[in-house]
Amino acid sequence: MQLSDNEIVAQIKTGQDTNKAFRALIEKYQERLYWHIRRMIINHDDTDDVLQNVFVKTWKGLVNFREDSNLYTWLYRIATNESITFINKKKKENNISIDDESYHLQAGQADYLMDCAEIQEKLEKALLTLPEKQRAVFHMKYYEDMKYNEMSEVVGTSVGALKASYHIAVKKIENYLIEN
Amino acid sequence: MNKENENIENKELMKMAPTLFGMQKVNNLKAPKGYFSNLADTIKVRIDNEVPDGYFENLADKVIDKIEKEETKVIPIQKRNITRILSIAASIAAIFIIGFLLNQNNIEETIASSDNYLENLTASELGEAMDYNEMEELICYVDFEEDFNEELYIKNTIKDIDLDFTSDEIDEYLSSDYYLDVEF
Repeated sequence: MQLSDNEIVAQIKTGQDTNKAFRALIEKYQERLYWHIRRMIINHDDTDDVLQNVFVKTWKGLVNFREDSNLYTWLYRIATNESITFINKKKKENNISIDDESYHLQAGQADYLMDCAEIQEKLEKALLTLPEKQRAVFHMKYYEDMKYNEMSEVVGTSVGALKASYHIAVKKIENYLIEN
Repeated sequence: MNKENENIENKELMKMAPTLFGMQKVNNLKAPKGYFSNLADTIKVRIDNEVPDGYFENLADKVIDKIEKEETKVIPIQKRNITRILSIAASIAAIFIIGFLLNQNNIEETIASSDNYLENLTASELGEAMDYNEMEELICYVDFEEDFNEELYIKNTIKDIDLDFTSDEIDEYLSSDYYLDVEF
């Protein structure tokens, strides 16, 4: 039986079956967080690094985690911040935009765009034209059906601003798909 | 998300972006096989091997503390030896100091007594008690007053007193080295 978020946090904080509880946390959220990061970063190896960092930071931060907070949105916040930090770092290091298709070719992304229908490929390219935070907002809403108030906790932006951001992202993608 | 909200959002999306709305939500990216089944173990290993936060910030202090503790672990043996040596030396010194003070008291008492003794002896008694050299030697150590008048001193009538020590004891004292290094 899967442990609830509250049970996981309580067990880790009290030191009762800490390893077991943390393993439960990883197994519960690993796929969702992986895809959240992967859609931002695209490259699997980079996603793997970032995801591991997210769980390491989660482990360190759980002691100070306020139980009135939502574990799910807290994890997403860490994942989003780590992804954006990684993208910005990569841009500085390589002087190449991670949004640039050449980055993914350099990174040896054999699986990138694999089995992509033409229209899906265009959508992926359209997503890469979005600023990082806007891309995260689009992913959370479009692919993960996250509520605006949860997204607000994740990215630290008001619900109104998020609605506007999502609206702009959708418009940009639509225009890209039409133009291409 | 409840059904009503979902419908509203879908309608909005359809209106805003009909091309996007018409597309299937397909994930074109793939994760390696078995990736998720091993991830928890991989992260556990990484956490176990993670350098703790602030480790390097405190490392220098920890090393210095450890070195100091190691030194204090070794030093006590030396310190114990030094302490033992010092305590022995202090005991010896204390014996010497006490001895010295006692001797000084003895010397003072002796001199005082000698003084009294000499004061109270008649010339003939003095002559009997010691020979000339002995008398001269003893007189050298008597704390003469500046206005001491030797002639007057000799002429003084020396009364018989109860001696605390014998003339032999005086001789013995005078022949000893006790007083040689003593400054009066």
